[in-house]
Amino acid sequence: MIASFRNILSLIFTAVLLESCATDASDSKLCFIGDSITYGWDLRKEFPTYNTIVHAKKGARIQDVLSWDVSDCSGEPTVILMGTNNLGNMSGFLDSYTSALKHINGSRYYIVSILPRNEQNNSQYRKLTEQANANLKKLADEYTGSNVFIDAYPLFLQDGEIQQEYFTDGLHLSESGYDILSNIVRSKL
Amino acid sequence: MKKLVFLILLSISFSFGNIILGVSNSKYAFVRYESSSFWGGHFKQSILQQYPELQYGELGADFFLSLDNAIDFRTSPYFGLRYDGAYFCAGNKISVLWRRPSVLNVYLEIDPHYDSELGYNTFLESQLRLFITPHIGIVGGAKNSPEFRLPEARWFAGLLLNDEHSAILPYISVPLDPEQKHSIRFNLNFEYSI
Repeated sequence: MIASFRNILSLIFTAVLLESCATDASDSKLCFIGDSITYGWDLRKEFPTYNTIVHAKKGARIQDVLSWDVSDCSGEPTVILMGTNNLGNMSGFLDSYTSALKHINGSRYYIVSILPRNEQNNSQYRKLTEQANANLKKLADEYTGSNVFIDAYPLFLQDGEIQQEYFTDGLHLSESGYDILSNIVRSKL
Repeated sequence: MKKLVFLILLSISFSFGNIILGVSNSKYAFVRYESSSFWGGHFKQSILQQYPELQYGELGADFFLSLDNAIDFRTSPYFGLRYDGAYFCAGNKISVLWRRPSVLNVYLEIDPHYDSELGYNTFLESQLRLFITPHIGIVGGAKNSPEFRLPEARWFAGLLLNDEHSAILPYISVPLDPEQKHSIRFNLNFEYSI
């Protein structure tokens, strides 16, 4: 009986090996570009089978990326989650975002929507965020390559208010908030 | 069907040694077979939460030896790969556990490890286990072995609870690099011997 058990395991593993040898070798690199939300995201734990490369700074705005050395993301699939620090001044946001994508030179972009903050449903920030997210979706569709817009924004809201358990301070995410974010990003990779 | 599988595992276990099921570092499930002599094998699998081809599976052999019920040696050569062929890993985890005195155990591990994308690394881990009672211990240590895939130096501390058939180790792991302080983790290791 133990021999059968071992045989089954070895057959499964051999099949997997043959399948992997028959496929062109893929690349497991995955770049993340972001602000404090990405900085606080334990990407090694959440994406354990990837070689994650992270460029994230607290308080970063999208235009700041232009001065970062992100050459290790060139030609790699890249997840980008930025924009909440631009909400105070959105002039030129989309142009800066497009310039950042060019600067990063990723092979494919997973553009994550700006997440909601602890604001009233009809607040200025909320309207700006929704407008910016609509523009980011359009950018993902129109920018070179087959990019993906990941609309995480509604997952953090309930009846127009942020779900408090997903946030630590109304802006940064709690562990359960990061679980939500990780799950939706993983589902799109 | 579940009962049948359970009965098969149970009968194998009683006849030929132990089957051990468990979870390591919250993200991997494993099954390990240990014969009643000196050898065994294991299969480790990243827990499904992505597409199957992006999962990682690892198959390994285990050879173990206990001296005077006081020092346990173990060597576990292994080979693993992500199922889309993006990378493979190979290595040999070699460990020694001093179990005397019984209240204070010392565990050391070395793992020469090759990752086809990241290259070669030598991973080290050291642990002290202080047992308050025979079934409750405090575990602490340092390591540069990855909890997931990428190398990272961390220290850790946890509470080990065990009985005849199971062991559970919830632990906190903190990076040694202060730049990485945001990645303080709460992880869980668990195993159950059928």
